[in-house]
Amino acid sequence: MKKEDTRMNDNKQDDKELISYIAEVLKEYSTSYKEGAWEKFASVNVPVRKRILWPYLSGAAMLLLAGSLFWLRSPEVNKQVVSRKIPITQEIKTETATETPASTTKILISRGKQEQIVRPKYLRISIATALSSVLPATPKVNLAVQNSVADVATHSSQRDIFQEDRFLKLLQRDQGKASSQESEKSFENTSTLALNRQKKWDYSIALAPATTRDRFNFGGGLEVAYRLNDRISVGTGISVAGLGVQRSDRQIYSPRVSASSPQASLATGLTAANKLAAADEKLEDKQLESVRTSVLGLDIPLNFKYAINKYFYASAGASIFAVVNETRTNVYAKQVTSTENFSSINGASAVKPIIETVSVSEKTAEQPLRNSNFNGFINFSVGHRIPLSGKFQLGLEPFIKLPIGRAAKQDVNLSYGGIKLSAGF
Amino acid sequence: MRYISKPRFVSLEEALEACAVHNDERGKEFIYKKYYGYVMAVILRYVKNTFDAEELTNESFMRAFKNADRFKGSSSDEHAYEKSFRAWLARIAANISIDHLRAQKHLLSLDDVAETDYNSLKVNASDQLQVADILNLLNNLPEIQRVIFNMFEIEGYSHEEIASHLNIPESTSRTYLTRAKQKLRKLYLDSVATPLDEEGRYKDE
Repeated sequence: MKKEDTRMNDNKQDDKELISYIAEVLKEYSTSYKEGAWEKFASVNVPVRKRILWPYLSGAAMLLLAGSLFWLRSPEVNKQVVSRKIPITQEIKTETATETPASTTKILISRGKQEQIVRPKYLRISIATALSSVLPATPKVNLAVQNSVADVATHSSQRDIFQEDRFLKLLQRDQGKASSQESEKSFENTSTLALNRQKKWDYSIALAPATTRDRFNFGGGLEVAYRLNDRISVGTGISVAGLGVQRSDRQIYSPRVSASSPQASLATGLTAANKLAAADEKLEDKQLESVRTSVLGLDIPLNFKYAINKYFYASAGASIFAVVNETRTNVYAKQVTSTENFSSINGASAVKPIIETVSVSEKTAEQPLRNSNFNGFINFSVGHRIPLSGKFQLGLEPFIKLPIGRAAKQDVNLSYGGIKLSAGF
Repeated sequence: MRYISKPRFVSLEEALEACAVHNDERGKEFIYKKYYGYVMAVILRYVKNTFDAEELTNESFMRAFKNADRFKGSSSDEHAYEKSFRAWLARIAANISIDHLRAQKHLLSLDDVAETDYNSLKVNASDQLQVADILNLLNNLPEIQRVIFNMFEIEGYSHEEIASHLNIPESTSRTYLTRAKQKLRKLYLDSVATPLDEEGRYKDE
């Protein structure tokens, strides 16, 4: 029995050693990772969050449209400022003098070469602001005001003078109110700028209908701007611009000057293709009437923007214009001679020569802009910003672009301007 | 910008927290890639078919990610935290494997292998057995014995828990565990003397 007990104990001991070893090995064991296993697992079990852009883009387009309609239909905005150029340096006119907003009072204030007609709603602030800068609030004010009134009186009727006296009295009373409103506006602007201080980058999508002297074009692109401080920001981006321009015969070729002479080339700014066309004209009796140029390019600007206040800004800068496609067409007036037979009553016949002028268009292979090293524009614009929410805003920005580099030396004028509609966030 | 530079996880705890709180995909990827081999190894102890094992591995991770907020590991020691997570993950994998075997009705055919007297030979296992050999030994056990052996000796289930999971009496669990151990020992001794065939089975059987 003892022997059997010993044997059983040995078996148990052996089992324990084997089993504990197996358990130890298997607890630590792991296979190698199978390549692609996660991708397979994720494709089935982990929902992939795709960033769908079309709702954002369509939303931005809708807001842009709604903002534009709001801008165009808003009577206050449309009637706020109307400007035209006049040579008079300074003038104040009052047609009627009532305080009611429904009156037809117009105040014309000119600074330099600009004259502004301001509606009554903005009368007090505008006049007070304008005159307070000219006339400080001291006893001399009255004298200055009287001098101004006297000056105005030379251009106004007696009735106008009486009304202006009333107006100036009101003005003095309202100066206090206006200054408090100014300080409120200033505080509002300051607080807005302070809130925006945290946000350094501005992004926007822009549509830019524009026109050259000859054709309406359409463009658009993306913009990004970095705020250097509360007022100034520097921006860049990329936009597509299509330009269509035309130059008439008087600007291209004068028949009184020989086309082959270098002076003629300098005087008229002809390109090589135009010179050839003009030379051919002698042989074929055709006259170059106009050159049509269509250019499609990418405009990459670097603009500095100055925020005048919360709602208005001015921008200036330069941009590189990379020409993607350029086509040129020469339009000729060609004289074609033909003959026509006439027969008289008595049976005699006669031949009469007839000269007709026909217009012929010919495409040229010349691409001076595309083959040049540098094309660019200088950009100027002013803009109006319409905040819709804390992060989203619309922009309306009239702009003008003047060519520089090779683009400025063309025999066509590539200057263009338009209104840029932008949605910023 | 946060979409451009997503943070990479450096610890299991961070990844697990990201999964539990934010259902974070990166956290899941971190855990999946780190513990794929371990979970696969656990499942291969129960399921012989590699294709099924891969499917069950994915199912285990799905369940683990779904219940990530329920895992409570001690955060004081990273090593202990990882060890407890491995044990938690292994239990999930074992449960899923058992469910799979039960669904295929493998466990219904409880074998009735008579206990045999084995020769008592001293075995120095640590010098001879490799992981592949051990897996071969396990795969030669009857299914119910293999499952009970795995659950008790490796995953750390008690007989009460095994009985509950497999819906068998506790005494049956004890019996099959004893038989599994005896069979393993016999198979091991046989393997020393008898070569395996191409499918990993002993040629005598």
